[in-house]
Order: sequence, then C-alpha cells, then structure tokens
Amino acid sequence: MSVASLDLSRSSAVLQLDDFSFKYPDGRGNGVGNVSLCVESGQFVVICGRSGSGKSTLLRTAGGLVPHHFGGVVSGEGSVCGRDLRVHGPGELAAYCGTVFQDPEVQIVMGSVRNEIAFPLENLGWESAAIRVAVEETALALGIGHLLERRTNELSGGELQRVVLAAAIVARPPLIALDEPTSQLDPVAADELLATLARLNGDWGTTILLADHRYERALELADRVVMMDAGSIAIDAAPENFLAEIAAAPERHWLLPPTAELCMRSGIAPLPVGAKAARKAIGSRVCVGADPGQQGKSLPTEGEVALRLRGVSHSYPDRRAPAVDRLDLTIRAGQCTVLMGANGSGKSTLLRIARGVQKPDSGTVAASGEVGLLLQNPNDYLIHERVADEAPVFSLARFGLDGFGARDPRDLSGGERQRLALAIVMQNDPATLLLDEPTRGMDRERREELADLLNSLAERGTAVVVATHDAEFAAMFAERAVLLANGAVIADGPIGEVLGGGWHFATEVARLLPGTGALTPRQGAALLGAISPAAVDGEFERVTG
Amino acid sequence: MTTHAMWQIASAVLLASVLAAGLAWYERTRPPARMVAAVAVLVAFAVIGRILFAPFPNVKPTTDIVIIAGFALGFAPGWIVGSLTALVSNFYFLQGPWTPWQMFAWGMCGLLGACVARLSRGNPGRVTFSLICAAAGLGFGVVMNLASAINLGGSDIVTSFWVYTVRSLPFDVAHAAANFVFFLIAGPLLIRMLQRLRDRHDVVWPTAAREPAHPSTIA
Amino acid sequence: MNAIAETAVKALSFGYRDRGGVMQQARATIVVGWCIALGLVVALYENPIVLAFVGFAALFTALRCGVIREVSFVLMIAAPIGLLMALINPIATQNGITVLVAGLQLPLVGTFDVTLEAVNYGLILGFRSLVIFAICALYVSTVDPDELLRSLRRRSVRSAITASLAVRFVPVLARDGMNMAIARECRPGEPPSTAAVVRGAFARSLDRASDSALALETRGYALARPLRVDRDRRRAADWFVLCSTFGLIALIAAGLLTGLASFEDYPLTIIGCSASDVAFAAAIGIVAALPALLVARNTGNRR
Repeated sequence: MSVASLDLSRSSAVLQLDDFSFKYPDGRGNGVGNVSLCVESGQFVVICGRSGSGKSTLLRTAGGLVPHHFGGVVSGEGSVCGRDLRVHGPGELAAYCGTVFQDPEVQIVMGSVRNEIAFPLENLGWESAAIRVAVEETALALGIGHLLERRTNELSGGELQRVVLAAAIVARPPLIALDEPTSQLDPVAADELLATLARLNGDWGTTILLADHRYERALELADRVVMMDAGSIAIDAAPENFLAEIAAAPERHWLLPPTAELCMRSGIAPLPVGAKAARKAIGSRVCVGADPGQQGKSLPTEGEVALRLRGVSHSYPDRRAPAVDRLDLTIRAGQCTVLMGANGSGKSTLLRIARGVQKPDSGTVAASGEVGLLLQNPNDYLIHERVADEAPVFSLARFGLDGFGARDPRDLSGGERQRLALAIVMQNDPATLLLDEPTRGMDRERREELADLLNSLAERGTAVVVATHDAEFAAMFAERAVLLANGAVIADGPIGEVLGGGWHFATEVARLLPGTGALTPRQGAALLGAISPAAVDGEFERVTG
Repeated sequence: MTTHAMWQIASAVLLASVLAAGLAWYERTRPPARMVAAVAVLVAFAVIGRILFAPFPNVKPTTDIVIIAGFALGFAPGWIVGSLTALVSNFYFLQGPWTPWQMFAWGMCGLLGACVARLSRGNPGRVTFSLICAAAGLGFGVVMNLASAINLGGSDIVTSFWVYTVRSLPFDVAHAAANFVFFLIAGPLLIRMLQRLRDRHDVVWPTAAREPAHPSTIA
Repeated sequence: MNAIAETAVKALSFGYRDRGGVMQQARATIVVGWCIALGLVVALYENPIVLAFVGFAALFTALRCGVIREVSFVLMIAAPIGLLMALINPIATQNGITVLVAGLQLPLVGTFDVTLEAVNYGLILGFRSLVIFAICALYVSTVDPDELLRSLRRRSVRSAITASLAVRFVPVLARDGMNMAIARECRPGEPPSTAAVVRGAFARSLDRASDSALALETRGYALARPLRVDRDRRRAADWFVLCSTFGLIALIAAGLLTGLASFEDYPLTIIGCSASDVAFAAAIGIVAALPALLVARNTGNRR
C-alpha cells in the first residue's frame, strides 16, 4: 500500500483496524484476533454477539483504552481518525472518540451536571468562554438543559446516562463508542437514549459504534451490523442482509429481533428491519379468528396458596404518597406471575414486603413456606472470596456452576453472577421465589435460559413472581400478569389479556398484532397462518435460505 | 497580639505549607487514572467508615484504612488518601480549624503505612502491624489535642494541651484499641485485596508505546 | 445494621444546601475567604462584645441564607463542648487573683483554687468556641464542595480530581453497602457475618475503581491541566462578600493598631467596653452582616 493511498483511505475512515489482534496481559478478559474493520465517517454501526465475544475489546480500542490502559500483546495496525493507536493513548484520543460504558454511576466524576459536562473540555484545555457555550449547547441538544444545575447524586440512572453521553460528545468527537449503555436502564430510558443516538447520527453526522443487548431496537437505525464471535468478526453486513444471514443459521436465531422472528416463522421474506417495516410486510395477513394459543385461557382459581398479601400498605418517610397502598394479592403454587408497572409503582417495595425484609405499615403477609427474593443487582449477593463459599455444592450444580467453586465470584460474567445469586437464594428450595428486575443487561439468549429455568422451577411447584419492565421476557415465561400503579393493582389476569392490548405494557409482537392476544413470535406466527406447523416449530432455513 | 494568636497564626502557616507541599508532591508523581480512582475509592471507603461509626467516638476503621492505603499504594498516595479523607469526611461532619490538622494527622498515618511497607519489605507481622496501627491512633490523638489547645484553648497553650490530653485520654485509648482490633480482624485481608488490584493493573507492554520506531515488536 | 444505615443516611443528608442566599450565590473561594476573615476576628479578639457581634452576624447570615436550621443543629451538638471548656478552664489554670473556692481536690489534678478570672475566661472560651462552630456550620452549609474542589483544580489538578471523585463515590458506595445489607437479609439460613459483607463491599468498591479509571481516561484525564481563572463569572454576590471580607480585615488591622476592644484575662479580667470599643465591635458585626443584609435570597434557578 502506497503512502498516498493510505492517507486517502484514512481521510474518511473514522476507525480503521487492519489485522488487529489484542490479548489482555493476565489472560483475563476476551481479546480480539485478526480483526479488520473500517468504519466510515457518519456510519451507525451496531455490534452484537455473545458476552465474551470481544465486543467490549473492540469498543475499548476505539478510545485507545486497548491497548494503552490495559496493556497487553498487540499486533496489526489500528488508527482512530488517522491517529495511530500505537502512538496515541486515551488522552489524545479523547478529542476524537467519546466513550460511554454500562454503569452511569461510575462514569460520573463531578458533583454537578454542569461541571461534569465541562470536565473533558477543561482537560483538553479549551477556553472558558468556549466551554460555557459547548456545555450549554450539548445539554440542550441532548434534552438535559433542565438538569444542568442539578447535583449528580440526585439523578436517576436514565438521567445520569444522558449526562454521561453529554460528557462523551461535548468535545464534538467524530466517533462515539458505546458499550452496553442501556443495560442499567429501564426500557423507557433506554429507548430515549437510543433516540438521542439516532439524532446525533442523523443531525450531526456523528459516527456511532454501539454494542447493546437491546440491539434489536437499534437495528432500524443502523447502517451496518457487525457480529463478533470468539474474538473475530463473524458477520459484517447491512441490517437486512444481517437478518437474512442469521436466519440462515439456526444456532444464531436467538439474535433475531421478535418482529423478524415473527416474520420468519410466518414465511415472510426478506425479513423486515424494525417494527414499521414489519407492519408493512405483514399487511393484512392476520387470520381473524385464529387462536394464538393464549386467548380464553383463564387462570386457576384454586390450588395451594403460596403467598397471600392482605391490605398491605407502606410509605417511605421522604415520600408523601404511599409506595404500596392497601394491596391484596394471592400467589398460587406452581404459578408464574409477572409484576409490571412504571418506576415507583411499588413493585420493589411489594417484593421486599413479601420477603419480609421490609415491614409494612399495615396489612398481613402469609406465606405457606420459605420465600426467596433475588434483588435487582446480583452483585449485592457476592461477598465471599470463592464461589464455593457463597452457596452449597448441590445448589451450584443445579444452576450449572459446578466447575466454578474455586473462582472468585467477582471474576464471573454477568450471567454467571446472576446464576450464582439464584443459587444462593434457592439453596433451601423456597416455596415462593421473587425476582426483582432480573433481566437488566441480559441478551435474548440469556433471557430465554432464565425463562426456561423459572418454568422448570414452577413445574416443581415453586410459585414464581417476577417484577420487570421487560415485556418480551414476561411473555417468555409468565402465565399471569399483574399491573401496578401508585402502589395498587390496576389489572390482574392471564398475560395474553393484560399485555395483549398492544400499547405501553406490550411486547413487540403484541404491538404488531394488537388485540389478538399474541405476545411471542410463535403465537403471532400461528395467528398469521404460518405455512406449516414445522415453520412454527423452528425449521426456518428453508424459508429464507 | 497575644502569644495565643501567634501560636494560631504560626501553626496555620506551617500546616498550610505542609499540606500544599503534600498536594504538590502527589501532583508531581503524575498519578495515572487507575491510581486516582483507587485513591478516591479508598478515601470514600474511609469516609463511610467514619460516618458509620460516628455514634461511637473515636472507634472507627478510618485510620486503619488510611494506613493500609499507604502500605499498599506507597508514600504520596498514602499521604493523599489520609489528607483527602479528612477533607472529604468533614464535608459531611463539619469543616473547621481542625480540618487542616486532621488532614495532616491522617496524611502522616498514610506515610506511616508506606514506611512500614518499606522497612518490613512488605511483610510485617500481623500483630506488629496491629500494634503500629494502635500507636498511630495515639499519635493522631496527640496531634488533635495540640490542635484543640491552639484553636480552642486559652492563653496557656502548654497547660491546655495537657488538659486536653488528660480529657481525651479515654477516647485516644479507644481509638488505639479500635485500630488494633480492626487491623487484626481485617487488615491483612484488605491489604491482600488492594495488592491484587495493583498487580492486576501492572502493565505489560511488549509493544513500544511512544516509539513507533520499533515496529518489529508489534508485528 | 439498619440503625447504622439510618445514621449514615442522616449524616449524608447534612452539608451543602443551595437555598439561593448570598453565600450560596457567591463563589466558593470567596465565601471561604470571608469565613476565614470572620474566624480571624474570633482568633484575635477575645473581647466578648466583639464575639457577640460576630456570632450575631453569623446567625443573621445563616438566617438570610436559609440554613439557620443546619447551624442551630451544629450549635446544639457543640453546646456541651462549649460548656466543657467553660468548666475545664478554672481547673486548668491557677492564674487570677480573685479566689472563689480555695483548696479543691480532684483525682489526677490534685489540689487547686478556683479564681473568678479563670471562671470568666472559661466562659469566654466556651462562648468563643460556639461562635467558631457557628461560622464552621455556616461554611459547611453554604459552600458547595464541588465548587471548592473545582477551584483547587487551578492549583493542584490531580488532587482536586481525586477529591471530587471521592466525594462522588461516597453516596455510591454507601448505596452499594446498603443494598448488600438488604441482600444479606435475603439470604436463606444463617446470615453471613458483617465482616464478610464489609469484605464484599470493599471488593466491589475496588471493581468500581477500575471502571471509574476507564471513564477518567476517556474524558482525557491524561491531559488534565490546571484550570484557568474565569473572571467573567463574577457576580454581585461575589463583590458584596469580597468587600465585606476586606472590610473585616481592615477593621482587624485598625483594631490591632489602636488597641480597641482590648481584653485582659489575668490577673484581673478587664473587658474594654467604652463607647468606642462597642462601636468598633458593632462595626465588625455590621460589616460581616452586610452581604446578607443587602443581597436578597434568590429562590429561583441559580447561576
């Protein structure tokens, strides 16, 4: 390659990796091998893949963290906006690449939002007048102008993450790398963040590299999807072609967004990207009167009661409205129930009261046996130095952690930590298992695993109650849905009825097929009159391949 | 001007210069981001320790955490963990004329930890180190009694100092005993964890970071 | 465990509050300068009339800045300390010529006389410490630590960033700890020891440190340089507080030169209380209270 052509190729390439390999120094973490990637200016690139496939390493490369912060063995070539990765570290690259990570809490340095957003510019040595303008403009552009005078420790996770994004883009870098930015957010805040990214990309031409477990929401924004597998790039294609490619490989079907899966199961090709295209593709194919397998199913009204709450009320001293307000709820053995509602509707308080770690102001809680509660963050449970000290062997084995006894719990992956926390909570076989928002930051594959696990527990007679924002997950495992608002039950019934309305508390399939009661792609496909039962049950290669 | 006021002003000037020198020292070591974050977390941990044990006068793990930080991270970071612990915790308690004194006293505790690491080649006995922590508690008391005598006491500094020493003796002994017990229980474990953090971040850099003149090491 | 957590929450809720008063409007460094000037008055003048005026000025400023509750809370806690100092002095010193009680005996101290001068001076010491506490409480509740550390970034940028990060970490780690305490109760069977939970919390904090280091790097920490002074942002409140500070320093100097508001502790208590002494003390009080008197509270959006 001549020098001239090299310069030319770099003028529009924001991130250029040529046969780039990286290994972390101590064998921890997952490196990448022989990655060649050229991201053009203005592209919106979605990066997907299993956890541990090297997504994070790739994104860390864009900011120079790999290799400069971590150290390690590097080979090949890489550059960011024409700056050689070998020479320029994260400090110099800060002006060219903004980076956003998972947990907003640890990405905030300053006590007030204004100072936080100004911080990178101060480091880069901008004039104070220019800083003031940039901070104001960035905040207004991201819709957080009203937060500028607030203290960072008073903000919600969603607000914090937008402040973090503002700090990442305030220097107007041509590239932003985001590593699972929505994994700690609820779906509404996550969608807001993605919408902001779409504006950044569309209005200002910022190049975006996004890895996210909710990548399906970002798919319709993307120009390009890169799938990582075991440290190298497996697929690099436009979204439509990407969907076609993974539809052709059954072992990668978990990556299909629900709308695409619905279309695949219904024999629609090519697979549409995003809800709007899917709606168009489905058109008027709905077979009126078909039974998605959910409609009309009623919940058992008898059976052993596992947990009964009567007239439970609780208020927190710093809030005027009660968190839980004269609430009655009966949970039966072997039943899978999902508890949904907005933030602050009382879901977490209800679970804590049911477990007995929070005493209600009034009302009674009666449980037929032990009650186990898995809190939102599995890290809250990890206190020992070895996995074997956290839970007994039989419990570890049950959750697939038999070989992990000697490891440090903090070295486990997110999914393994979640299973370990479950092993801790489930070690004495509680009659009722309560889970608070268990799917944050989980990809579809792991959510399916968890749904299977919960269903198998329910089959053995455990009553399972999950509080979640995640309608797709709810549809995977639950038979009953309870909606909470202001600490009271506003709807309670079979999940197809409660979530089938196609509005806020609904799955993507329910939104495409409102009022039919279909929640999952499988149910939707049955409704759309799939070409054959085989297609409904999972042989898709024929359809798209 | 009274001799008392002279004492106050002289001590203020002296403290200010020592603290400024300490900050400049830390600044000159150009701590990398991971050191800054580790120091900040240790400070926050020590501050929370002080807040949690606020109901029990002088029984708190703060001094031990500072000493351990000095032991595991070295001289300048140890000093800065100590002095920032005083500064930051007083945002939650009360800033006052005692703040610089506490910054100095805890900063010295951090230095003490680093000295122990240097003198013992990183391996003091558990009990020996616990005793050193206890002694640090007493030393901290001496500094703070001097501060009280100068800031709040009357015209006779020396007498006030002895009065404060006698008055605070039970508290200082409690501080020393608590330091001893806290270190005996948790000290070696925390040191191990901190050292692991440091080990984990030792950078192995086979490629030439700043000198692309040696591309052979990269290929 | 819960009682401890509650105490922690209470402690965390004390501190800076932006209530829009003049001291909250002014820059952190300027307010610190004003507090030091006021503290200097207290350090250099033991005359109780001066102390009383300074105390009034501090309370008045606290009232006008909406932090009187915080200040009185601190004074309530500090009252026993002041009382103790008032009691200790007669025991500690044998100076003074008016003996009130002779030949008292106490263990450790031995035989001693209680003099009127020592009692007087003890009362003044106690009162003075309360005034100091009032000034400190005013300072803690009106100076934004974040702004203060920001001004430290003009001198010592890495220490200031470290301190800012530590301030930021305190509530984060406290929240982690509380969640872990709840998780401990959610475990079946015998709950693990507190020591184990603390160990876990410490390990988790160190993980947080690693993550935070990444964020610092991507914000360009490696290039961090001292902040430049931003003079355009000075506003009315800054000038009022600054003038008050210089006024106080001028008054202190004038007082030292002319020997106004003098005070003798021993052998006889002599309090300068002529008309000019009182006028001088009043001048100090008025100059100190001036910013709070002249600048109205701004209850809307700040800055």
